[in-house]
Amino acid sequence: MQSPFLPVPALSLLAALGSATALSAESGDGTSSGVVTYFSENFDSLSDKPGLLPFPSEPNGDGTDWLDLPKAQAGGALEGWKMTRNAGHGEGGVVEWSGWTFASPESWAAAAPGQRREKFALGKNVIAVADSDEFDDRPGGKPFDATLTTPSIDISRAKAGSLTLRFDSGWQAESQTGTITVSYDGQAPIEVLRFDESKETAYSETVRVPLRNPASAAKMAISWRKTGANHWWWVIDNIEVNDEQPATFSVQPRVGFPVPGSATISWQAPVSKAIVYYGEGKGKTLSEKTELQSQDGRFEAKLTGLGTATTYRYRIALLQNGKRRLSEMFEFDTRFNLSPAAVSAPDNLSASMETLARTALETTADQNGYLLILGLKDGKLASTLAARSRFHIIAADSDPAILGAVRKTLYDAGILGHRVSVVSLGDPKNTSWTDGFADLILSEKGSLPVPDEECLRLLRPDGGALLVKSRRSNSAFEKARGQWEQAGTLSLFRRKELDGAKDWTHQYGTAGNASYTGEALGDVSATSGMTVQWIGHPGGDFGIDRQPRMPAPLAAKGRLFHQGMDRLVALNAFNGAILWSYEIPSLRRLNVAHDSSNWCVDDQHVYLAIRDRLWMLDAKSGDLRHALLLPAKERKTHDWGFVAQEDDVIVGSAVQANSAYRDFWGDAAWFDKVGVAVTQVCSDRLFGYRKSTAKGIWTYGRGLILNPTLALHDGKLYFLENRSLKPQDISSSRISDRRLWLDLTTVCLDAKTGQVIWEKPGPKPVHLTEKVGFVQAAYGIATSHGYLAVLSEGTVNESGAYQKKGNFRCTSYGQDGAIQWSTESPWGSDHHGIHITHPVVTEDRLYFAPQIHDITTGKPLGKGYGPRRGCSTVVATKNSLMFRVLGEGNSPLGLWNKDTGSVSRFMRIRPSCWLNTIPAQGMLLIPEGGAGCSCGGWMETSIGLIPRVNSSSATSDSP
Amino acid sequence: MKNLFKIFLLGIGLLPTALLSEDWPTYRYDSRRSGVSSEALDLPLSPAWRVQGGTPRQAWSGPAKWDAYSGNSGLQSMRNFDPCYYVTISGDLVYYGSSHDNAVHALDRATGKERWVFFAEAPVRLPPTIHDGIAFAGSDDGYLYALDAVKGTLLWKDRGSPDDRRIPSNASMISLWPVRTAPLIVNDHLYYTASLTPWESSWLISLDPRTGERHFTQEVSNVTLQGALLASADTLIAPQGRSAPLLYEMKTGKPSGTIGHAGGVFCLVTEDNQFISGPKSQKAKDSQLFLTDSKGARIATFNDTTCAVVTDGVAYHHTRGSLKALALGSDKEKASQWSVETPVPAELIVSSNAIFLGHAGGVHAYSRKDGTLLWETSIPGGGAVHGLAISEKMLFVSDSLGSIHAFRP
Repeated sequence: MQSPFLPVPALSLLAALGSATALSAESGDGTSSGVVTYFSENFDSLSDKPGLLPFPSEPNGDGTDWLDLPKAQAGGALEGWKMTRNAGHGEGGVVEWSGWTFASPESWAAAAPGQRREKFALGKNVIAVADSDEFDDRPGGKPFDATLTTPSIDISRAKAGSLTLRFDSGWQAESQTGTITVSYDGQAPIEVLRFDESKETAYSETVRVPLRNPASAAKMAISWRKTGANHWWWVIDNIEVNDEQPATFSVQPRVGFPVPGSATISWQAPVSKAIVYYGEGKGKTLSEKTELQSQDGRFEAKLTGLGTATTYRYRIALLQNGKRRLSEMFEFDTRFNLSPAAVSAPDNLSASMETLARTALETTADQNGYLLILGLKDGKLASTLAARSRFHIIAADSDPAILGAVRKTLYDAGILGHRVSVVSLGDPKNTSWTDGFADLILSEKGSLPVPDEECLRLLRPDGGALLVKSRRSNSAFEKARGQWEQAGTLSLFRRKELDGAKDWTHQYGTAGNASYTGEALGDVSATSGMTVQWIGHPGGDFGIDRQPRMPAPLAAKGRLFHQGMDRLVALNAFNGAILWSYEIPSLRRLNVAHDSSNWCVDDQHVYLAIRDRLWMLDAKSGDLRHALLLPAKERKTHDWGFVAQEDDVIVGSAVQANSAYRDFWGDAAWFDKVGVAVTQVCSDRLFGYRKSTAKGIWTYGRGLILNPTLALHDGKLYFLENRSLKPQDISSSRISDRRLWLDLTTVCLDAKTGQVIWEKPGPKPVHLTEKVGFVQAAYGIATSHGYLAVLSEGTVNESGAYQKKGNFRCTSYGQDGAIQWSTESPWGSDHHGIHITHPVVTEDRLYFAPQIHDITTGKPLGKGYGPRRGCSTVVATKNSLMFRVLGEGNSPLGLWNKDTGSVSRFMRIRPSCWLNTIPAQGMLLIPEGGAGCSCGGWMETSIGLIPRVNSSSATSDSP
Repeated sequence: MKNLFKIFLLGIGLLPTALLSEDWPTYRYDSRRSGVSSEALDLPLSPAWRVQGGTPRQAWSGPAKWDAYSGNSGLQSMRNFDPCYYVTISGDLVYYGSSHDNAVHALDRATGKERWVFFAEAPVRLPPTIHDGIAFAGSDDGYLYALDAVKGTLLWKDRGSPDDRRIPSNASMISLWPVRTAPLIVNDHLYYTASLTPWESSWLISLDPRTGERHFTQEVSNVTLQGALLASADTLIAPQGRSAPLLYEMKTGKPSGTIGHAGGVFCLVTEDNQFISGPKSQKAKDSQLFLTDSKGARIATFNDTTCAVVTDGVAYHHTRGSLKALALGSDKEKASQWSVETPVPAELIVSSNAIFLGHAGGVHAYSRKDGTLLWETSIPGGGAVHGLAISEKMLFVSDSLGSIHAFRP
């Protein structure tokens, strides 16, 4: 089979060829140069027109803050515009909103406070309003059906297919329809855009519509038509028709923070010149710009002199053949620039110290964390290591005179505190530091003043290193999990992972979605068995909010990865140090309960789906190593959907472009409502890549593949597929058509070849027909026991009425595809995510919410788990389940003891509404996820908890 | 002297420790955290000196951007107790604690030159309290330090928790029981706390400020004590951030309740033993302050504001673009004394003749009598002004970028 993929070159920082030149400050919003504007209207000419009608219906206006078109034109404005109330448009209603009218955003919002009209931030001064909801506040106010049409626009000089319509839009989704049509030279209108129930709410967005204007067209008119009843609004402003083509990137932009006060914007595009416009604040003018050139389409703009805790906006212009293609407006926020300040290295470092410093930095597992120097001479080693790395240095000694001198030296050099902490050693046999925090331990004195046992206690697991002159052999090293390595002329002992520690590499822990990795967590089964290992960034300001079911954090090889509001961060799992971070405007993917996550990790890489590519980021540095392409057939029309990895294989999928959920505002983005617009994101195609070569190896596409059911285990890829719905039946990869569930096939592929190993018809819903019923969620879990296909289905009666209950139904397939058993478990409730809870599979149990079944027979064991608050889903460790425990403390995160059924709580820790607490690396890793909730006194911090059994310095027994 | 007389009625113990020398000896001047000085400042003022102490490394990140589920944006920070290097002043020295270099600093009041520096082992987040020639400062390393106020030498130190365990936190190794409440001195007793997470015991401690000998050690559970301790006539008040402030008996340290409606770290006790604080939840759509009596009954609610100052029965607070003077205890029609458009304050303090308002771009001073703008200045560097203090005819301004600016007539 011929590979459908093109070879993709490896990238590295060294290959970033963009040469940035900072120009003097110059006003530029990127809307004029090289672009011909054929038409523009922002309705602001109405701002000085007095209202000509009283305000008879709405209580919050004064009669001077809105206009209809005839009155506006009587005042000499909006010449040539037309507003048509179409046949059937209500003849009564609230007169101010009968058809398209014009108002200030403020007065329109004041018409119905508290309904979020004020969120149309892009609308300024005067906007055009089609508000069927307010129109219906009086009798005769429905239906609403009105059209607003521009004057005739001269496009005789425009090249065929060159024009773009751009306007700012505010749209509240429900049962309303909005269309845009274009009539060329008086011919029949052509629909160029449609908003309907499938369009997400977007209170304030800039919409760009390619017009595909014919070669012979001399004039055109554009019409906005809004239909609906008591179902919200469509508002528009800042209309423009020009020949500007939107910038398209082969690799989407990302922003990194190399040092304080600077940012690096990187992207790839098939041009040789580009400009970055950027500036502070929300205004439209971007006051700064940087011009770049590139030989190979890879750009890197280095912005310097940036303020602290400041939101910057930027647009990228791609230049080619005298044309400029502008990106949409992006943002980055320097409050997430947590890079350490650069400091200077001292002079006259001795040769032995130079060797020690160089060896130390060559042998550390990561580029940030904590280096512990035990025993000081003059502090030069500490300041050298600080200058050459991003590590925080802890420099300790017992001699007050040495401590005082080193502190004074480093203070005078501006290094003390923020880069180097100089501290008293205390009792060398029992230091005060927590276990396992130090990435590297060494001494400036030549010999360590701390016993080996204590040094080994302080070393971080899974890579932490003790650097000494020569290897030693004693009982401390014999007991320790680790090994000796040669490091130049020195020796180091590198600690292995904690006993029983596991990675959390995929959304639900494993590529098979078990929500259980075998993590022992020190055999802990109650919260009193855990203590704080680290606390700090990222905080409440990093994320989106708790409710929109975000991708879970991941952890591997001592690193923790976490997504926030279009940003991600990599942390040192054992001490919380920030390794690297990016702001990525295209990152956000929500509602993973009805989709797949957008990422997975292994020891070397982060695999991140961004639009139509899969970024392979170096896990240690964050550098982009590869940007994998979709198969050729889907390359221009699809985005990268599912991603999983195992051994040398990466499995990906293609979904129609823009199918991923991104909207997060309001309870609709909780994705929790029963039976209402439940959709599944489905893939058209699966494919495999080989990790080691970054080359594609197979593709598969026979139908619609349900993303949440994709599960990879031991070389087999399992999923549910519908082969009867045709592409013409669907308009996006978000499927709400009931027929999806009526003809499912369970499929097992060889993950290395894409060949079908087996396939079986089913499973089938119990209540759902083409006309009634609903499946609330579907999951697939692959383990050594085979594949579990799970449907969460609402119960309806014969007439189709929902009965306020439902069931999880599970079918177990063996390795050969034979059905082993089927079972079901009733929903504990139909809200707060209980009815979409992802099952947990351990060595011997299937945990449905809230029932427990034997994994080998499917038989219920007659008991459940809880009490559970819901919202977050459930994960397991060897001895416990983790979820929000109902009751005391407003239901914080807690543990449920598998043996005893007892619960314990982490007071004031609120998990997110899906999954932000992962048991991994021998710890509980809880990157912040619940701060937005106003429902309690939450801690608003990220935190790493470690079993007390692994933290011998912890002496408190407080729960 | 009217102001002093009222304070005296509440007990000599609530006196600022060095009032008569016109010092500013503790965070927001006194144990009520009133922000009220009896000094008059001759205006206008001119820059005297500026010290850049390095960018503050705050204990906590900012609040969530919004409660998206509820459609509530503009959430307020409830743990913003260390946004700048607040100063205290005694004699000819200006003191501050640093989260940047983990030190307590003493500067020459006239020149800004450093007179001494004392190094702790983790960030010092609030300024030292000066009492009887001793500077008391708490650190994230878990210790309260007593320093010779003139020389900076260590006299004694006290660790809040019986255990000494250090954990990584934002490029520092901090105690699991950091001292994040400004030391409080009342009736010659010193109070401080050591606290971080609700799962570990926290500690409220009273000791002799001269010897460090403990009067009591109160172990408390399920709390996170942070922000400056303060006191009413007989009660200690301990803010918690995103939870209600806690009350303790001053003599014994025994818990005596909570202020259930309150939250955040901005709290003050008025001269009439009334209490001003923020709301208990971040979800208040407008930033609010509540004024309650000693029993917790609501007297007034100030909307759209995060700080206030009360003196001589008048509350000065900022609402929707204007600074207002409100006579407490008057009927509604007569209560409003004046209102003037001002920037949104991040800090408010009062001298005998003026109200000083720190904001995102600088400082404004208004007449207490009628709100007339008396003086204004911008702050070089562009930092937001979170800290103000007055002593010996000088004004000291602390900003979010770590600078301390001194002004004199």
